[in-house]
Amino acid sequence: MTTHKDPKLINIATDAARHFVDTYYPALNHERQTLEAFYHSNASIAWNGNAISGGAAFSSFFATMPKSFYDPQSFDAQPLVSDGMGSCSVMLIVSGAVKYGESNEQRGFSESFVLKPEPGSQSKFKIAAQTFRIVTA
Amino acid sequence: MGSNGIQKRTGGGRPTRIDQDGDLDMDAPSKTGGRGARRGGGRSIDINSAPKGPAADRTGASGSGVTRSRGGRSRGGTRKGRPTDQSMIGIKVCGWKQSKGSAEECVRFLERKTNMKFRKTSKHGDTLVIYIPPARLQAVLDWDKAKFAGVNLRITADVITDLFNTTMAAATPQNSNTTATIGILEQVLEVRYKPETRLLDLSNLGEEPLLKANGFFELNSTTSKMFPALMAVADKKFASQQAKRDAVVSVSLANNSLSSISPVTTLSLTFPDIRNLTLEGNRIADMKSMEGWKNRFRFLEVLIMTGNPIVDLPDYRHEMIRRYPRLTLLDNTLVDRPKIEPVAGGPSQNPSTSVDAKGRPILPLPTKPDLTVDMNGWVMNFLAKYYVSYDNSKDVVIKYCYTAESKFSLSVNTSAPRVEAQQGERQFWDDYIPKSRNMKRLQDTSEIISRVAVGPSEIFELWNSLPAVKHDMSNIAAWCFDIFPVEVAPGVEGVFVCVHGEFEEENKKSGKVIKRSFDRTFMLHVTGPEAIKVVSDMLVIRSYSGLAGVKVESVPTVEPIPETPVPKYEPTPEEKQTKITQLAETAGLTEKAAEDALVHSDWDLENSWDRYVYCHVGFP
Repeated sequence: MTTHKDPKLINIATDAARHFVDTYYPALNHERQTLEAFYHSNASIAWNGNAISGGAAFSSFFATMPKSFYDPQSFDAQPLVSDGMGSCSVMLIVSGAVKYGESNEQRGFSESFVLKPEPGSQSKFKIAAQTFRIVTA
Repeated sequence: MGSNGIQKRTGGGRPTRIDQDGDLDMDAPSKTGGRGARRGGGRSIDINSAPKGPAADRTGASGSGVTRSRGGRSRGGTRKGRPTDQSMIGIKVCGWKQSKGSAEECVRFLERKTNMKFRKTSKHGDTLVIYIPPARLQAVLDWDKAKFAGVNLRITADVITDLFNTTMAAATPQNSNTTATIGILEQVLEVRYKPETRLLDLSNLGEEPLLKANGFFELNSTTSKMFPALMAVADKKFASQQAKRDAVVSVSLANNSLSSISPVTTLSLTFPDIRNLTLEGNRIADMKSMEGWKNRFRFLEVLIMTGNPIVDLPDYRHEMIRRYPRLTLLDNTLVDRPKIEPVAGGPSQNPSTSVDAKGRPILPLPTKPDLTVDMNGWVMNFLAKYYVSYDNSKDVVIKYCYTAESKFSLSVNTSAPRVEAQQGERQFWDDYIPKSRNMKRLQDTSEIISRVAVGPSEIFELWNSLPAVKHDMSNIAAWCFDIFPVEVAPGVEGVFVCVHGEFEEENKKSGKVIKRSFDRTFMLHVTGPEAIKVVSDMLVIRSYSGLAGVKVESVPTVEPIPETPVPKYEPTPEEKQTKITQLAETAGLTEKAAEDALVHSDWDLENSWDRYVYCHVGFP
């Protein structure tokens, strides 16, 4: 039976997702001033139901957040659409726990991203879309 | 503004105060042009053209409107011998008689308030009638109950019939008659109205065979009059305001060569509550051309203006977002509503320290319910069908939703935070772990490749290897949806869907029924209401963490920008009973269950999850 499975694109998506999770969450936790660079300038973001557009807006929003510690406990990623130049956009889903402020309470979060390759670079991806939800009551 | 229009009228002016038919002349002697022009020229007011006179400058008239109108006048006058002023409609103003002011003062008052110049008014006992172009109707009606010299004015427009007849006459092509016009326009609406998606699709009317065949586009003036006529027929099609609200949620006016919304302004009277509107591919170039809808469409959530020159104006987005307070999507970009104050003193790691009643730090944005940007409701419709079939008829879901290129994978987060009752409880993940693609744990590249199922048969096989589960569709509080479009590759648009919910699993190993939470993210390819395919599908399964539905938090810490308050809809007991009966019938529910669902949705089953669930029985 034939399949449309493309191992090369799956590897690209996997690498992009790993690199992203390894750099994005530390930035959320410790280096907020670098957040904007993770985003496309017109990225669409739904944060707990609030629409935010663009990395600059997200970054200035996140600057007002209490101290945060995000722990991405699991993630999975798939290649979305080939860009015709050897790379592809990637869909990523992350599930984890987050602590805010001085509270020790671990709250569950679920977060999904669409990452798009930067033109001319196979390894650099930016956030085109993101949805974030706290998922514990 | 066409200055020649004003000059011309000024030239014909004469300082009359009262004319023979008893009309009040509201023009001051210095600007009496309007009257003279009307007399001398037999002017017929083109519904498409903006109001004339000095006020027109302020209310967004376009110069071309004047030219068109003057051309139309001569045609209208000779071609059919119609009476002049036929497309003006009369509005009744009462109550002024009891005031301290005169009729004249009352008219001046309304002129000031509406920024208009009424070119004809008349007095009949206690009733004052002012004549205006139909497009300006709402602007005047808005001042009903306005306080004038100590009394509340009553402004009523018993004009629908008036408006209807005059509009029909104006739209009727040469060698035809109004009855035929009405018939044709009714047919057009029939063809263009899509009840399943509650979309009135008036796009590309220039290509509509019914209109082309009947000569509606022979003359420019006819074209511009066809729109108001179509709006008027649409207005008649639905009996009540509620019927309109229920029937039409989305309107498309795409690709109609509109350079202004003037010909279609009455859309905002007929369907004031629509949520989605597209004007894509027209010729609207400036804010003035949108003026007629400035304070309309208070419920508009999606507005598409791409392909109009106006989108290149620097203030365009800002202005549109300001005008439509509920807008969540403008030209396929999410609207950035929250206003976040920059933190004083540069980036701080810890700007907010206040906590809520539970001792949780208050976050700068309050949690909001579903953010669904779902033009026409297609995606919610799809998801309802999807989950109705998913538990018991996976083969059907596969058949209708997945293609050879669709991908599915699942991951388990065994350590996710959970409700207290689940803490310390064994979770029995055994059925899932061998399939889990959690890359935090899984490093083996070949496993990572093999655990993505691609195409219908692989996905079906993977689903069937999982324990049987049951999603409770009727428990609205257990579901949360964020939905919006995203460009996934240049020129390729998908719809990004994130679902949070719960299911019950028949766990064989423990012999128990286990409740679990899940997150599921889809990328959908949407080409029509019945043409939605899953591109990517990723499922996260974790321990039960409580209801996923979001209750609106009552104490936002950031003032949202002020929105027009929307009165809460509370139907009468009779209306309630009608809705209950209706829902019980469509959904095959008991009246009690139907009532519960209705109460839960504030008696508004439109666009809400339960409506979709109750009204659908899965894929055909």
